Amino acid sequence: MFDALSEFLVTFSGSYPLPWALFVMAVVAIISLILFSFWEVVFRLLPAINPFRRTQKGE
Amino acid sequence: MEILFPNAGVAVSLPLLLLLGLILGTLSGFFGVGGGFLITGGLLVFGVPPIFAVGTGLTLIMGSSLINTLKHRRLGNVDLKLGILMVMGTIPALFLAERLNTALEAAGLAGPVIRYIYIFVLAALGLFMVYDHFKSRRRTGVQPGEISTARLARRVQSLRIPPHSLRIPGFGTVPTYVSLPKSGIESLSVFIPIGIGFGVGFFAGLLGAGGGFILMPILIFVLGVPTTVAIGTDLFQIVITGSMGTFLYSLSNHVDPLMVVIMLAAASAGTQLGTTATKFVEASRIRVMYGLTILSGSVAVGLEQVASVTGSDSFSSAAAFLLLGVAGTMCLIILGLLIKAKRSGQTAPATGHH
Repeated sequence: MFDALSEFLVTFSGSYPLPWALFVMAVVAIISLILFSFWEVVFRLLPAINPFRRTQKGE
Repeated sequence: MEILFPNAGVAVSLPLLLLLGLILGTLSGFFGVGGGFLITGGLLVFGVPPIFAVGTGLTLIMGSSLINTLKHRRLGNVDLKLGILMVMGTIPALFLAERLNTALEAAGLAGPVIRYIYIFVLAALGLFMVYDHFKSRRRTGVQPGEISTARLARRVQSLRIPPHSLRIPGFGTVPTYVSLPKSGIESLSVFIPIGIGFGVGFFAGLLGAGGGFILMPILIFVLGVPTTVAIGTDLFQIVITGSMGTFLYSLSNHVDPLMVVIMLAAASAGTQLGTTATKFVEASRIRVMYGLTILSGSVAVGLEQVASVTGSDSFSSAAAFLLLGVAGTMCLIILGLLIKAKRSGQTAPATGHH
């Protein structure tokens, strides 16, 4: 699979400069948004699953 | 554990790439800079060809700045209006600088001229920020963390530059002054941020960097923008310059997207640490740490210049190791400060306005 990916990247970048440039920008932007969302979710879930958090009075 | 990167045609150690990404993300989130000088130096040490180091570095800067900007926006640190005004000046300046760069390249002067400008600008900014920190500490009767150039910032904000209004077809007469409440500025001539954007864009294009390392101190010391807002707004500007750099370098096929994605994953983790730390660490401390980091950058570029004159690779390696060493140390200090603040139960920003 890695070989197929490598071949795709080399062929695409060498053959179609403009679509390649737009592809690189789009991939980086989409992955950045996914990573941002991933960390947002992690930081929202973290307090809920933290076993050391202080319990409220009466809990 | 090495991976062969197909576009760059080079095998690089995966843990080292992840470490570099983590350091970049942390410093970028904490200081509000792209970190071009750090990432290019790091990739060169790992054996990545120079042109790919620059292209891949700029692409990584685009991604990590995007994550950082989104995170800082959530924290309320991005002044979009100010950012958009500066971008209006930056874009034409980038093209102008590219022209000058090509002319310098043709005359065989590009390398030394760029390095000397780097050494001077980084050293001047770094020394000034360290000086400002100690001067502010010595002064009495001022708010904690207030900058030493507060009077200059007030004068710049009160500048009235003609024309005071513009007639735009379809919109009527539009005033050339804006209010920037997020930056704490009541009224500012639009020509000032556009001019700053132009100047920074010109330097950025000439030096092949994002320009964040110049813009961040200008926003704080010349415009009087609060440090955390300067960091967030600076990152917004870097997304734009980074995107343009990514496009141009991808077009000439000098970007390895696989390398970018791997480092971006690590940088996104570092971003969380860096941006969160800005909430807890004193603004004056952020500024002095930034000053020391760019001072080490100045020494590193100086060593690069010595290497190019003497032809010795050892100076070049020393430069890259100095940069990575200082950057790694800064990350550990940031982590330490964050842990200390959390342990002491600090929840609000450590200082007031600046």
